[in-house]
Amino acid sequence: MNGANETIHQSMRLKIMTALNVLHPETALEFTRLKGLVGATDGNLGAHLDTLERAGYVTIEKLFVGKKPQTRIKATPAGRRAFTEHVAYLREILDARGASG
Amino acid sequence: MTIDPNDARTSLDDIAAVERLTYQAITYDHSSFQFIWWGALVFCGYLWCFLSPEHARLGWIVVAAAGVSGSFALRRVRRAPSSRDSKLGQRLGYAQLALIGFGLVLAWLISPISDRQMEAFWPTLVMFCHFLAGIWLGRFFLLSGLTVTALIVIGYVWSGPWYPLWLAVSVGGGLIASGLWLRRMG
Repeated sequence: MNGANETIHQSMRLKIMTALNVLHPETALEFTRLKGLVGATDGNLGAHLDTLERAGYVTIEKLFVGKKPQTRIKATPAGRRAFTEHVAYLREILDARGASG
Repeated sequence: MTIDPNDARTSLDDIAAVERLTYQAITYDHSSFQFIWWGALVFCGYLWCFLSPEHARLGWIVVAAAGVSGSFALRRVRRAPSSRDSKLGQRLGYAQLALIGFGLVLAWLISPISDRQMEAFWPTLVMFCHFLAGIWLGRFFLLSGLTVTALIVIGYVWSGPWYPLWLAVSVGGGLIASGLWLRRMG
């Protein structure tokens, strides 16, 4: 059994990784859309994205669409792997309780 | 770090909720283009019926062909953001073909019917499917199906010679407005 992933397990970061993991590996999500999906404020989301980026779980791309700045976030292969393993770990915890109870 | 089973359950519930929201946002975003595309075509179709009623059937054949081929092309151009969405998109494409096939059989079975009845038949059939889809997909499809059907009935009874124009605005415009709303929500 793989252990818990402390970086991903934090509630907001878990939601961020969930939303990004739903997308195709090549597809990025805009900052504002991600904010709406996970129910975060700008500052809160930015801080958690920094943590995930430092862990190598997401890439953050800043670009201009016309004159408007846009931030796009994508899960890296390492991030997807870590998320999948963490979800499997969570399920194993529940399965273990089911087996013992 | 240890996680107790209650915490694990809460985390898995959060994951399920965010997954559902994300899939819904993706579905809305992708459906919006289909709604706008079909809305514009239907608007043109009814306008054509009003301007050239003797060639109405030819116009609708062009609309159906452009609608289905355009829908498949839109899906190719706008890459599906998730594998589940890609399968959903394919199924929606086949559902459109099936709907047209069933509609043709049904129209043949209940014929002869007047052009006025036929012009109400297709959008009512499509809106009935929207209503059914709404039972699974949510209030938006339920309401749009009911509202546009009500507008079709009102136009059928009261719009007189302006009937095709009424349908162009209520059905075509309704689909376009729905598409724009979905785009905003997605």
